Amino acid sequence: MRTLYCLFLFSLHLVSLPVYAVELFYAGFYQHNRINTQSIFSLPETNAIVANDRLSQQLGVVNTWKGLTFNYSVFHSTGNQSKFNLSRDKLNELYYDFGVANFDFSIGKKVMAWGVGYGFRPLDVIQQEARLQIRNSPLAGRKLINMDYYFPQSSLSFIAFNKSELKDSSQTLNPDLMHVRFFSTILGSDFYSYIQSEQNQLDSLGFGLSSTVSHSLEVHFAATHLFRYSKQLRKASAELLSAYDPFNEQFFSHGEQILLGFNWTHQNNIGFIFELWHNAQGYTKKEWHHLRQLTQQQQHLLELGAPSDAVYGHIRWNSRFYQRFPMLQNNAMLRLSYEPEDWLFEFLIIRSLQDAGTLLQISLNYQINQYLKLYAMHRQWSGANYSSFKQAPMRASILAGMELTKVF
Amino acid sequence: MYKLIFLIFTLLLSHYNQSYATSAKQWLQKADAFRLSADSSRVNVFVDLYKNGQLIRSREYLVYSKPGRRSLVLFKSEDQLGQKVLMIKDDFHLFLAKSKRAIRITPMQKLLGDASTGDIANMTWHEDYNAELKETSLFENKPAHILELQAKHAFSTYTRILLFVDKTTGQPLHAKLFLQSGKLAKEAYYHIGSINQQPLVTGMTLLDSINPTQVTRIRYTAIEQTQFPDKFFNVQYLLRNPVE
Repeated sequence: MRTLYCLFLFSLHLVSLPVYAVELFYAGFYQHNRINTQSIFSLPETNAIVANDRLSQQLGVVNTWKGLTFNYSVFHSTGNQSKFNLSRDKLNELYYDFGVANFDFSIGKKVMAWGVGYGFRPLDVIQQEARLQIRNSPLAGRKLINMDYYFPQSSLSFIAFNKSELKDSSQTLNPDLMHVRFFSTILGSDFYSYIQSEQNQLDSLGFGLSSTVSHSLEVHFAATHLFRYSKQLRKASAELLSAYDPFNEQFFSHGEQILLGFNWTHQNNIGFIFELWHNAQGYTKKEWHHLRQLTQQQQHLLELGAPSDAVYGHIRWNSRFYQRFPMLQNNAMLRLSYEPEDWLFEFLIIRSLQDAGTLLQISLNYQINQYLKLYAMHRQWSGANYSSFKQAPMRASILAGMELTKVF
Repeated sequence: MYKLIFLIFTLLLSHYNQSYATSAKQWLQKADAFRLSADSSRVNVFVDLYKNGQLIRSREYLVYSKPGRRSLVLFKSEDQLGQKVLMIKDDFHLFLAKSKRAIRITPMQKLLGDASTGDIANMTWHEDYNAELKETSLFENKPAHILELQAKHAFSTYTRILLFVDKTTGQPLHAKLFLQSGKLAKEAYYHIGSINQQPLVTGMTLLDSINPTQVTRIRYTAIEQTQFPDKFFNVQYLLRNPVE
């Protein structure tokens, strides 16, 4: 029904346009996951939480005309077991940009990515774009009302959006968060700052900086203070095997997110990015240690004759830990890239500093022509034996695919 | 008496130096007049990459330029559609179409082949460089002045340029482009043609000193005087900017 509604909106949109350009996007890719049978989160194939093989396709359409933007995509994925099959459609963006006097406005569902950082982006509080995914999907916007004012080298923005939409995209626009941001470029540096309140109470505030310090070197920094934040944690009172989901959202006061990094570019198309960050919303070493021990104890219950369905169900709940990536609070990232014309080679290392886990990734992109791009990637989870990366349900992943873009 | 003669001599010398310096500046402005004829302009640019004499990639850009060292480069080729580069003085920002976010980049970032962002975004020299007239020489059998350009600003794409201009018309002929390290990065050859019935630089060939098999050609196909608001050059406006 929602698909029909979106198609109807889009057809109305097209019919109303005397001249329009439509961008069509198609992606097809295959992913193979090598399951980590040594992991404490390991489950038998019938209870598996990760597909061994997956074939996915995505089709998207984007159109902008006179301030009105429409961005819609459909996704279909087939796994090696039918439970991994997935079909969904998404209205990524539908918004209208307009100006009144010297003010610019946006209303609707819009992507509002912001701030500095590659591996982690503390200032991206509205979009909260998932970073370092095995494959980046088209971004889905937030429902919001936005007003901007532009000074010669600065800008001031007011954005109202609803917090609940960060977890459930079906929410209608009912803004409960007010976000004010200020950006300025002074003496070769970009300064970012924001303050966000929820129902007249401070929710978070942040500051960022990006500066070019030489012909080849850019440095960046960002810090946010969260007056209140939450994590999905297991209830302390929950039994080892409980009849209900023992995880819930637990709230904390006063946490920090800090990022420090640099980006170095050589004239021979070699790039180098290094970042260090702390994210209060990640698991602490103690929380990870607790989850690990709990999972081991639950696995041990199998040997004592506990019902396997109950044990596997709990391990599935525990493995939601991997939905946030990277999982722990303190991380380092190194990205080395080489871009000789149509090729892009990338080597990425992410190091979890609290438990000495390592993720290695090698990827290759080839732009065949203006329309067609091929890519391949290998990701390997490793590190110290009981690190969160080493215990991941997957030991390695391979992804290969193509992207086709055409403007009509 | 000797003091008076010395004073007059010093004054004359200073006047001579001043006129010489002004002359270099004038030659540079003459050369600039062949690159960009209007103050506020929109320029269609194609960058072609050749390897071993064969065209292997061509990309199209649209450059909006205003005085004050401000340029906005729109990427027009389909594989890069929606990307934008904003240059304000020494600051370069790249707007990524997929992540819809502007990031600060260094002047070293390349667009295609040997064409740096600065090669496309910088449409004039006189705002970026101080000129000194070095000598007169022959370039491809044409009498030419050699101007030595020194960057006025810390992060100009090239720290030093040796620019050969036609001794009669002032049209740019050839340039040797040096990096901060003092290393010769590339050599540029300028082609004069006609746009809007005016003699203008319609092309530039870049040769890489390290990779001689690779040739990058920049073509200017249309230059149009046009007016657009200053907020075009605000980093945060890149997401909203309706120009395609």
